[in-house]
Amino acid sequence: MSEYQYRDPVRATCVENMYEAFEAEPLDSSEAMRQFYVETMAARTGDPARSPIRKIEKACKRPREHNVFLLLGHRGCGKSTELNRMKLRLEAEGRPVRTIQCGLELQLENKPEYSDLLILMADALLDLSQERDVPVEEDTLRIIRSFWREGVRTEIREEDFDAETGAGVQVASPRLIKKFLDLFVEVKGSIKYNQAARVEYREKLTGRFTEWLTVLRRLSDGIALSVGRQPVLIFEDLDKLGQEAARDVFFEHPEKISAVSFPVIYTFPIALSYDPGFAAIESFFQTATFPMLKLNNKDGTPYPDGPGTIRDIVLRRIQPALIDDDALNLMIEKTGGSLRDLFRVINDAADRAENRERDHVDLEDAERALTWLKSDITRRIEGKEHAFLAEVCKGNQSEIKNRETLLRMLQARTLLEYNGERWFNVHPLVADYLRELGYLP
Amino acid sequence: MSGPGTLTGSGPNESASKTLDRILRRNQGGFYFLIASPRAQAAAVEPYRDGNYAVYDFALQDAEGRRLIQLARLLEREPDRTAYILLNFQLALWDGDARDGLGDWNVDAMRRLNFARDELIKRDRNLVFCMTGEADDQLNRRAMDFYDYVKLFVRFEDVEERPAAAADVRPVDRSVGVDVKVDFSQDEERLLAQAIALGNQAVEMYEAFRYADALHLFEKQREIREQILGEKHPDTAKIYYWIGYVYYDMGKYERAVEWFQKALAVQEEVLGKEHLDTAWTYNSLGVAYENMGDYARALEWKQKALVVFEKVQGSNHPDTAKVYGNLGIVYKNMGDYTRALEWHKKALAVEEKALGKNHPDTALTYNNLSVLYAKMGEYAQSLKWNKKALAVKEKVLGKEHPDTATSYENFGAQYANTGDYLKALEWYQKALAVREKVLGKEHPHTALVYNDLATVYEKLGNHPMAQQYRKKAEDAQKDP
Repeated sequence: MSEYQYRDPVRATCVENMYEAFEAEPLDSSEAMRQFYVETMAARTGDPARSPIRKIEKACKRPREHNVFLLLGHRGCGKSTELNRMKLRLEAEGRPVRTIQCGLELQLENKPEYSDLLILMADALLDLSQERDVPVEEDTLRIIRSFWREGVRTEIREEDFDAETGAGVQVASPRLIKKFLDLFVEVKGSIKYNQAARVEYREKLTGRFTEWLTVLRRLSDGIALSVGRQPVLIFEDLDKLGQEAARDVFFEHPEKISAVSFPVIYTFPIALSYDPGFAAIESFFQTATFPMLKLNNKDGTPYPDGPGTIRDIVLRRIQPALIDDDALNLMIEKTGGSLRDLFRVINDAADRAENRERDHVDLEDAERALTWLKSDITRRIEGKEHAFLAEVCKGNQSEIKNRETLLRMLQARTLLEYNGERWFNVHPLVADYLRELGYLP
Repeated sequence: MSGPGTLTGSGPNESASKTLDRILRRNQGGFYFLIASPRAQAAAVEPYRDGNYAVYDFALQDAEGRRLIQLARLLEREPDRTAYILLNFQLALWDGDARDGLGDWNVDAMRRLNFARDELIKRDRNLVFCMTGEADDQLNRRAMDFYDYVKLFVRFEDVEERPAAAADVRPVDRSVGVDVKVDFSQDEERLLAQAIALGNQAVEMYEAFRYADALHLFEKQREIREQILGEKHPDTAKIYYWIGYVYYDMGKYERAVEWFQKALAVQEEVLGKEHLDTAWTYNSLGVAYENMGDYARALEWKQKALVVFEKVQGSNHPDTAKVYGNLGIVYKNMGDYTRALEWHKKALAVEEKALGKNHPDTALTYNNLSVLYAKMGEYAQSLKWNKKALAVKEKVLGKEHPDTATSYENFGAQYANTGDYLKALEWYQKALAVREKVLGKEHPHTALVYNDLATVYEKLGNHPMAQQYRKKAEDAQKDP
C-alpha cells in the first residue's frame, strides 16, 4: 500500500502526485502565486503591454475617476487568478481590497438583484473598516439600523450607541461595529435562504436607494480618509449567472450598481456582452475583456507564445520527465487555451498512466483523455448547431445570425473567444468532431 | 469481501477499481464522478462500506432524503470522514418516483448543484458522486460549472455481458483483435499498439451508446490495420465487422451489410467457412437483412450460421441457442409461427439449463416468446412471458437500458392489442423516455416508438397528438 503525499504547493515529482498539481481552483495566496504563477498577458492579448487587469488596477489607483468595471471573460480562463494577483499587489501597497464571493454569499440560482449586491457592499466596507481600525460614524450605522429595526434576531438598541441622535459626529465603538457585522451576517443569511425576507429587503433598498448610497459613500470615504486609499471591491462569480439572471442584475438598473464612488469590479458573463442590451449599459461602466490564452493568430497562423506559456504553466507544477513532449503538445493544442480543460485531461492522462504502472504520461494516455473530453464537450452541442459551428470554423462570423445559439455556445465553451476583440473560434476538439461528421474538410 | 483492485476489479473494471481506490485514499478534497448502473455502483463501492468513508445511498431514501440539501447535512453530521460516497446520486436529480419510471430530470436541482459548487469546494472534502450515465450526461449539459470542476471520471461496466437485442449480432470475441506475430518494425509495432488502444476506446464509446464517436475511432483503427496488416488480415476483418456492427446499432442496415460482407470476404478466405467468427458474420448478415425486410436472405444467412455453430459449439451451447432464437424471429416475420415457436422453445431449453432463468440472454428468449405469442393472438401467454422478461431485465440491466425499453414497448403493444390504450400509452412513454435518452430522437428504434404512440393516440381520438408523433417518426426516419 503506498503512501500519498499531503497536498503541498510543490512540483509533482511522480505520476501519483500529479493530481495535486492541477487544481481547477484559482491561485489565491502569495505562496501559490510564487510557486505556480506564470505571466500570461502576452499570450492572451498578443501584446505584453496590453493587460486588462493592469488597466483596471491603474484606474483603481486614480481617485475621483468613474471606475466601476465589468470584467468579461470565459469561465476557467484564469480571470480569478489574475484578480487575486491584482488584489495582492494592491494590498501590498496598503490599499484595502475585498473580494466578495457571490457564489458563497448569495444563492445565485435564486436570481440575485442589484440590491443584494449593494447590501454585500456595505457589509464588505464595514468589515474593511473594522479590519483597518477605520473610524465609522454612529450616524452611518443608525441609517443601516433604520433598515432593520424589526424582524431581525440581532437586536441593536439605542443604548448600544454612545451618543444621542444628532449629537455631532460620534465614532462608533468596535463593539458596536461588531454588532452591525453580526446584523449583516443575519441579513445575508436571510437573503440567501429566506424568500420572504429577500423580497422584503429588496423592496426596502429599492425604496430608499439614495440613503443606502449615502451609507456606502460614508463608509468608503471613511476608509479613504483613514487609510489614504480608496477601498476596492471585487464581485466574483457573477459571470456564472444565467443569461436571464445576469440581465436582471446588470441591465435592469445599471445606474444603481455603478453609482458608487469607489472602485468596484464586477465579473460579467462574456456571453451576455453579445446581447443587444449590452450596448445600452456600456456607458455606465468601463469594460475590460480578459481573453483566453491563444494558440493561433486571427489569420490562423500559429502564435508560439501561447503554447509556450501554457507549457510553462504546466512545468511549474510537474517535473518535465512526468509527461512526454508530444503528449503535452497534443493536450495543449487540443484544449485551445482553456486551462481548465487542460488540467482535466492531464489529470485523466495521469490516472491512466498510473493504472498502467508507468512513470510518465505518454501520447496514448493523452489521446484517451482527450477522447473523453471531446465526448463531454460535444455532447453539449445540439444537432442543429453543428452547421452553425462549422460556419464559425470557416471564418463566416459575420454570417452568424442566430444570437441565442452563439450565446449558448459561448456559455458551453464549445465556442471560445480570443484576443478580446470579438474574435472567436470553436474549441479544437469540437472542430475535430465537426470534421468527423463531414461538416468540415 | 474482496479488496480493492479485485472487487469488480478484474477484466473491464480493473482500471476503474484502481482509480477509485486511489481517490478514496486521497487526503485532498475534490469532486469525482463514478459513472455506472445502479448495480455496478453498488458493486464498486461495496469494499468501502466499512472503512472511514461515509456512504449515503439516495436509493434508500424517501423524497425528503433525496433532496440535495442532504449532502450539506451529511458533511455537517460526519465532518471527519476521509471521503463521502454518494450512491445513486441520479435520484437526487430526478423529480418523481424513479421506482415506477415516471417523472423527469429536475432541472432546478441541477441548477442548484451548479451554483453550490463553490460551497462544496470550500469544504475541502473528497466527494464521490455515483450516478448513471444519463445523469452524467444531464449534468454535463445543465450544470457545466459544477461539471468542469470534476477531477476525474471513473466508469464501471456491468460485469455481466450486455445481452443482445432480440436478434443477436454481437461478436463472440469482444476483443478487437490480437495481432498475429510477424516481423514488424518498431514504428509499426508502435502503430499497432496505438490501433489496439483506439479499438479499446472505440468499444468504450460503443458501450456508452456513443456510436458516432465509436465509428470514428474504429475508422482510425482500420486505417492503421489496413496500412500495416493489409486488408486480408483477420484482425483487419474484425474491424470491418465492428464497423458493420456499429452501423447496425445506428439503424443503418445497408451500410452494416456492406461492412459485414467486407469482413466475411476476408474471414471465409483466411479463417475458413467453419470458423466461429465467420459464423457470427453469417448471423449478423442475416439479422441485418431481416431488419431491411429481406426475410428470405435473412433465413439463408442464419441457416448458414446454424450449421457452423452446431458443428463447432454443439447444440447445447448458449451461443447456438442464440442462433435458434434468431431463426425463431425470422420464421415469425415470415408468418410461420409454428416453426418460430419450435425454435424459440429449443433456445429456451438450452438457455435455462446452461445459463439459468435469471440470465439476461434467457430474458431475451422470454421476450421473443412474448412477441411471438402476441403475433399469434395469444395475449395472456404473451403477457406472461413479457412479465418474466421484464423482471429479469430490470433487475440485471436497470430501467434505463434499451433492452428493458423493448419490454416496455412489448407491454405497450399488448395493452394496445387488448384495447387498453391508456395503459399502452403509459408503457410506450416509458419506453420512449429510454430510447430518446440512450439512442436519441433520430434513431430508427425511437421512430418505431413514435409511430406506436401515434397509433395509440389515434385510437384514443387525439389526432393532434397522433399527428405530432407521426411527424417525429418521419423526421427521425429522414436520412441525415
